[in-house]
Amino acid sequence: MSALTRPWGHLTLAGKIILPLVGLVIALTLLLLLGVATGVIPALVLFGGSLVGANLPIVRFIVAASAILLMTVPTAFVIIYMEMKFIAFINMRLGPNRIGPWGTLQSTIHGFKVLAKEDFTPTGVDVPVFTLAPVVVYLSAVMTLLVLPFAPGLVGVDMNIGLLYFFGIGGLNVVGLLMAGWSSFNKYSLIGGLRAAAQVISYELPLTLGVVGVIMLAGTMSLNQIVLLQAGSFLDWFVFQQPLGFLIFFIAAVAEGNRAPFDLTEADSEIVAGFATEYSGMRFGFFFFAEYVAVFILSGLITVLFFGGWNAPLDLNPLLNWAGLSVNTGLDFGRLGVGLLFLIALGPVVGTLLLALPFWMLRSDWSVLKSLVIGFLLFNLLIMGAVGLYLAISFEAVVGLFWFIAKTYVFVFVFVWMRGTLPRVRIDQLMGFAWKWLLPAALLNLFVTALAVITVDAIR
Amino acid sequence: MSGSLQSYLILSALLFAIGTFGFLARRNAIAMLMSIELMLNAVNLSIVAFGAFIPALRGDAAIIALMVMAVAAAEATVGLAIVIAIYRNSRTPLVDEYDRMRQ
Amino acid sequence: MSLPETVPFLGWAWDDLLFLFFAGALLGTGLMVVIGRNIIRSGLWMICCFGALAGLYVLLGAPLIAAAQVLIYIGAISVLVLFAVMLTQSKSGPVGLVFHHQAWAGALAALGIGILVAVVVAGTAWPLAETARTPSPTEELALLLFRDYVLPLEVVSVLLLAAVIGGVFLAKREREPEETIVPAEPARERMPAPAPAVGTRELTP
Repeated sequence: MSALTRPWGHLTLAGKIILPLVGLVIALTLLLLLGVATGVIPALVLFGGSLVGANLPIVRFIVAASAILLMTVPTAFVIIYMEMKFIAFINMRLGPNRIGPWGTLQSTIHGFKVLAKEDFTPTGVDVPVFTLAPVVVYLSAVMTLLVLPFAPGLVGVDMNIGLLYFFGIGGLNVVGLLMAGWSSFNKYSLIGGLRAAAQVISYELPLTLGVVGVIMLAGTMSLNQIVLLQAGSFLDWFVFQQPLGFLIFFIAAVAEGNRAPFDLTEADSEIVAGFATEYSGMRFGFFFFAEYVAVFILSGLITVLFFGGWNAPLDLNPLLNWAGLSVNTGLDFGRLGVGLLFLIALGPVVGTLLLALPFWMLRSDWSVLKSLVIGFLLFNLLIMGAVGLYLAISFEAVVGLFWFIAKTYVFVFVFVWMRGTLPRVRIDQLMGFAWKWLLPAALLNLFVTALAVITVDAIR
Repeated sequence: MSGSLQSYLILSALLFAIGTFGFLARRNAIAMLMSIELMLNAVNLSIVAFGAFIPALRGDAAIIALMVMAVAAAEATVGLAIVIAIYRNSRTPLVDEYDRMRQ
Repeated sequence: MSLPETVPFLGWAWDDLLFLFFAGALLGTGLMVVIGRNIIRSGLWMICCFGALAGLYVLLGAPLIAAAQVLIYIGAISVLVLFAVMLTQSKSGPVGLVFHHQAWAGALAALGIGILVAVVVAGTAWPLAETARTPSPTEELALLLFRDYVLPLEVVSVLLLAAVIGGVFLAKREREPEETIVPAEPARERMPAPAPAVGTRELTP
C-alpha cells in the first residue's frame, strides 16, 4: 500500500489533479472507440435525436430552464467582482488584484472557498426550515427570470400577466427571510428576519404602484409587449413619460433587493449579519448569490419597463440606407465549396504568421516563439470579433441581447455606486420614507398618468 | 377527474372540513385565524371552479374570488391586530385563557 | 417516439395527474396546518397549501387568480401571520396545549360538514357547459372589474382602508400615562459636561 501512496504523496497539488484527469480522459476515449466500433453509440444518437425531435417543446423547456439556472452563477460572479473593484475605486484602494489578470478570478475563488467550507448546523435550530430557507430565497430570485425578455424571441414564457407573476414570485423571498430568521435560534437572526420582512412588504407597495403607470400606458402586463411598445429611438422609452414612476420604482427596487443604503437586514454594526448570522458554507453562499442575482434581475426589470429593454437607443438602419450602405446579411459558406476547406486549413496559419510578422520585424529582442504566440492571440481576437459582428448582423437576438445586457449593467453599476457612496439609513427613517413619501408619490403618479391617458384619448 | 366540476367541489368541501376542525379544536388564536384562512380558500376554490365549468358565471366568478381575497386580507389584518392587542394584556395566545370577564 | 397522450398503465390524462398531485398536496398540507404542534411550522405549511391552491387555479384556467393568490395570500397574509406568531412568541407545546379538550367533538362536526357537502355536490345536477373549462382572459376580467363591478371595487377598497386604519389603531401600543408624565431618568448617564480647558482661564485677562 505504501509503495503506491508514496509516489502519490510526492506529487504537487496540480499533479494530483491532472493525473486522475489524464486517466479519466484515456478511459473515456477507449470507451468511446469501443462504442463506435460496436455501433452502440450511433444507434443511441439516432434514438436520442428521434426522441428530441418528437418532444420539441419539452426539450426546449428543459434546455431553457437549465440555461437560466446556470446563467445565474457567472452573472453573480461578474457582479461580485464588479462590486469589489468599483467600491475599491471609490474608496481609493486597489481592490482584488492577485488572482487572474486584474483580480478577475477573485469572485470565482470566493465561490470555491464557500463550497469548500464546513456546512455547520448550530444546536437548537429547526433543521428542515433552516435548510430550506436559502433555497426559497434563491428560487424566488431565479424563478422571476422566467418572464424577463432578454432579446427578441429569447424569453422563457411570454405570459400576459408577466408583471403580476414577477411580483408574486419575487414576494416569496420574504418567506425565506422569515424562515431563516426564525429557525436560526438567535435573536440577531430573528430581528434581522423581522426587519427584512417589514422592509420588503413596505416597499412592495410603492414598487407595484410605481409600475401601474407603465401598465396603463402600455395597456398590457406582458413584459415582452411592453418592450415592443418602446421600439424606435430612445425618445420612445417609458422613462420620459414616467419619470416619477421610474424614480419611485428605482428607490423601491433598491430597498426590495436589500441593498445599500437600505441594507438594514444585514446591518453588521447593529445586528451582526441579520438573518444570515448562523449560516455558513454554501448555505450562506446561497443567500449571497441570491442577493446578486436579485440585483441583476431588478436592473433587468428597470431596463425592460423604463429603458426599452432590448431596443437599440437609435435605429441606425435609415442612416445606413441614406448613406447607401446596405448590409448584406446573406452569407452562404456552402457556396465556397472546396475553397472553404482551404480557408479552414490555411486561414489560421497564414493569419498567425501575418500578424506575428510585424512584431518579429519591429522588436529584434523578441524571440520567434513570443511573436508567434502574440500573433496567434491577435488572430483569435480578430476572428472572435468577426464572428461576433457576423452574428450581430445576421441575428436580431444577438443585438437585442447586447443592448439588454449593456443597459442592465449600467443599472447594476448604479446599485454598486450607491453602495459605495451613501450611508445606511435608520430603520424608522426607512419605514417612514416608504409610507410617508414613496407611497403618496406613487399614488400621485398614478392619478396624473390616468388623467393624461384619459385626456389624450379624449383629444383623439 | 380534472375535467369534472364535482371533483373540485368535493376537494373544496374536504378543505373546508379541515378548516372547520382547526377552528374548533385549536387553542392558539393565531392557529384559529389560519384555519379561517383555509376555509376562505376552500370557498374560493369552489367559486373559481364554478366559473371555469359554468359558462354563465365565467367572468363574475373570478371577480368574486378577487373580492374574497381582498376581504380575507382585511380580515387577517384586523384579526391579527386584535390577537396582538389581547396578547399584550393577557400575555398568552391561548383563547381559553381569555377568561378575565368570568371571574 | 413522443410522450404518450395519457399516463402509461393508468389511462389518465396528464391533467388528471397534476390534479391528483395538487389535490393531495392541498389536503396533506391543510391537515399539517391544523394538526401541527409547532405553530410556525403550521404557518409554513399554510404557505405550501396556498401554493398548491394556486396550482389548482392554473389548472382551472384562471392564471390571474393564481397570480393574485400567490401575491396576496403567500406574499402578504401568510407573512402577516408569521409576523404575528413571532410577536406573540407562541411556542410548540404538548398536545394538551395545542388542542381543546373537546377536540373530538370538533372533529365530528368537521367530518359531518365534509360528508354533507360531498353528498350534496354528488347529488346535484349542475348546468355544465359542453366544453369543459373555459379559460377567462385577463382583458375581459379587467373590463368587468372596472365597468360592471366598479361599485363593489370601491366598497372593497374602502373596506381595506378601514382595515388598515383599524389594524394600526388596535395594534398600536397605548402609551401608559406614567410614562409620559414622569420625565426621563435624570441625566445621570449623560456624559459630564466637558471641563473648561486648563489654559483658557489663564489666557483671559
